[in-house]
Amino acid sequence: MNKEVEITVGCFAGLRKYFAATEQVKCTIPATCGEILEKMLAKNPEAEIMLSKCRIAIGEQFVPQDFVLTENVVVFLIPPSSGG
Amino acid sequence: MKSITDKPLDYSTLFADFRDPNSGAVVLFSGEVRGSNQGKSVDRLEYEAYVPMAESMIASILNEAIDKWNLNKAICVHRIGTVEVMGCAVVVITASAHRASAYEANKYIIDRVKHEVPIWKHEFFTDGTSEWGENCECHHQ
Repeated sequence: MNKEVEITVGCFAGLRKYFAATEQVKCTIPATCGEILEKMLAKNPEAEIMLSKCRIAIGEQFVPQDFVLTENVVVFLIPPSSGG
Repeated sequence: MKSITDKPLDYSTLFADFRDPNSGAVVLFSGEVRGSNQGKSVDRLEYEAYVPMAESMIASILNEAIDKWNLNKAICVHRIGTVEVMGCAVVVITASAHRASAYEANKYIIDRVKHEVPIWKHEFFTDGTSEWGENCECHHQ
């Protein structure tokens, strides 16, 4: 059954030039992570290049863009690593 | 031990734990903050991490390296927060019976940590500008 929800999106590092540390996006579940990326892009089109480089994590696991979200999950957008 | 810390790294204390009669080779790599990058003078770095994920990924990388090279011990500790020029940002120590495996495993660990683990450096330059670093092009999986 479709349901309108707000998904929390965690943003790190260079993404915070464009977004707050946590953002809320409205979507209808079931929705994919790719749809969340599109909503984030709509929030700030200037983030397009950075968003295109991000990996997506749920909890402590990377997930693909077609991963289907459930209610109450937090989606983390992971920019390219630059440790060391 | 934890792999992400906001405290200064002390190599000699970390190294002391690696003395072991089975380890004929102990390799210590320290990633240090350079005073210049891309032709600009660096004032300091500020590191950020998604800590729980970074901890679990580093633990997994270390376990893989220990199995693959039959190491006696391996650690990787990475700083978050501010690290000044000449400060230590990351230490990897590997111990094995012979040097080849300790060297190879050490390089394997730091390469994977730099490219895969959610840790980010924010470089602050002396001209007042700043920039987020990127070690790789990790596009969508």
